[in-house]
Amino acid sequence: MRAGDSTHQQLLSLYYRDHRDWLLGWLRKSLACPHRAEDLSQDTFVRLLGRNDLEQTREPRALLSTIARGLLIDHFRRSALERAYLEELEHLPHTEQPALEEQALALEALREVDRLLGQLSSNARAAFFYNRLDGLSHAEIAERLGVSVSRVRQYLAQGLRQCYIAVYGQPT
Amino acid sequence: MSAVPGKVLDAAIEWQLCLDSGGDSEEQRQRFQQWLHAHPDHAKVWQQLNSLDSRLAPAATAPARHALLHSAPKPHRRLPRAALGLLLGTGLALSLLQQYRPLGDYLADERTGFGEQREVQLSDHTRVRLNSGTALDIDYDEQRRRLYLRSGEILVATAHGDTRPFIVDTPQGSLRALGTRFLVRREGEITRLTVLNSAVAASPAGQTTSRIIKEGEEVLMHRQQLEASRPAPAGAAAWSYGMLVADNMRLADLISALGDYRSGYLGLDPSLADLRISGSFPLRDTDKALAALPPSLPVEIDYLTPWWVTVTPAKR
Repeated sequence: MRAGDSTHQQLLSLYYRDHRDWLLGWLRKSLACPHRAEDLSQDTFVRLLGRNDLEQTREPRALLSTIARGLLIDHFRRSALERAYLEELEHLPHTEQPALEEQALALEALREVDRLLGQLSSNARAAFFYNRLDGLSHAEIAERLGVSVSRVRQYLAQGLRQCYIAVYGQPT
Repeated sequence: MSAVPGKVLDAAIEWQLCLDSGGDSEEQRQRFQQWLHAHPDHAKVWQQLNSLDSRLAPAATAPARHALLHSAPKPHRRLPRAALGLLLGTGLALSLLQQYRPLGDYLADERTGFGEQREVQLSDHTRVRLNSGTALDIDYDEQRRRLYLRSGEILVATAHGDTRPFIVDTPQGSLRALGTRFLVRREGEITRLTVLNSAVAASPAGQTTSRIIKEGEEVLMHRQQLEASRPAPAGAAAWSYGMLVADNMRLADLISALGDYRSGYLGLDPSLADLRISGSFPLRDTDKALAALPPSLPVEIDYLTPWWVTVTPAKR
């Protein structure tokens, strides 16, 4: 238990009382689905639980919208991935379409890979897959992507570093 | 798990690339072995790097892989710094952009941004004009000339003298050109085909038959069916000259069309949706097009930010 926990709790409930409706309204402007807005507003307050700088916050709404914006971007990234995956499945013949349960599992696994790849661009991702999954040489990748070999090396270095940090944490 | 020094990670990545590039000599391999055994951290990072591949395994199937590529974050350098600052400042606009522009589009062979139009000439001299916010894949081989319209709208003028079939595909079906000029537009779950010259054979994805759409006709194609053909509106191709021609058009339709040329949000007060308007509007400068509304209609243009614009009833 941290000293000052009760102040923290009080501040939190104050925030919740004063700004929840405002935050919900703010989120609803960006999200078509009201339930989603409700979820994200809850998540935003959950994030506040872990912060110990509430006492110093002068502008609670600025803080709330910063957190909510991060969650929104995550949300759009996740749904973009999901949409892209389901669209890809549509192109498969019906006999090859995975069952709903398998789809859900595959999506879960995809989200994890997506997290590992983080901010890597699509070209960097493509290069990384060609190299790590297909074993293509740097020159072959350069040819497929229409970029120079040194660019491919940059992509691969970015990919290795990004994945490494996502799994094992930032080096010192 | 204790973190390793950043220098060791850098070196390990460097060695990965070096050994992987195929040009590794005996001498390099010896130097690598020396490095590997020089410190326990080296071996540890090397082993960690090599274990990453197993975590990528879910990406091995084609749909999974494509999804991960198509939904990758956009490289930031595509936005000028100032614009990016503004976008982040308005946050909302950023999420709107991500919501409305399919993230996979930028992987397309050819694409245009919002408000941008471009013409490309293909290897057979077919000319394709891309309207605002369009993403197009070009896939020519010995048997056929195929375009895949991911989003947006194209005006196609096929070249004469090539015997390979010319096909435009969308998720809703296939359009085969019969020597011709035509427009294809993606509208959500519908593909709109407008034939300006000659004819096009349209076959929805869910059907085995096709129907010939003739010059001056327009048709909406769904996955399962083709709607009845109807006369094409006069101004259908006006966008290719940078104009939008409205002939007694609903204001809601005009605003939605202008919205295609803007990034961010362009909204309309629902009470104004059914107002009618005629005229031609410049598409390269939609602010100008919007400014042209108030003189003839009881509306106001409300600029909250350049990315958040609403058309509201005029306050008298």
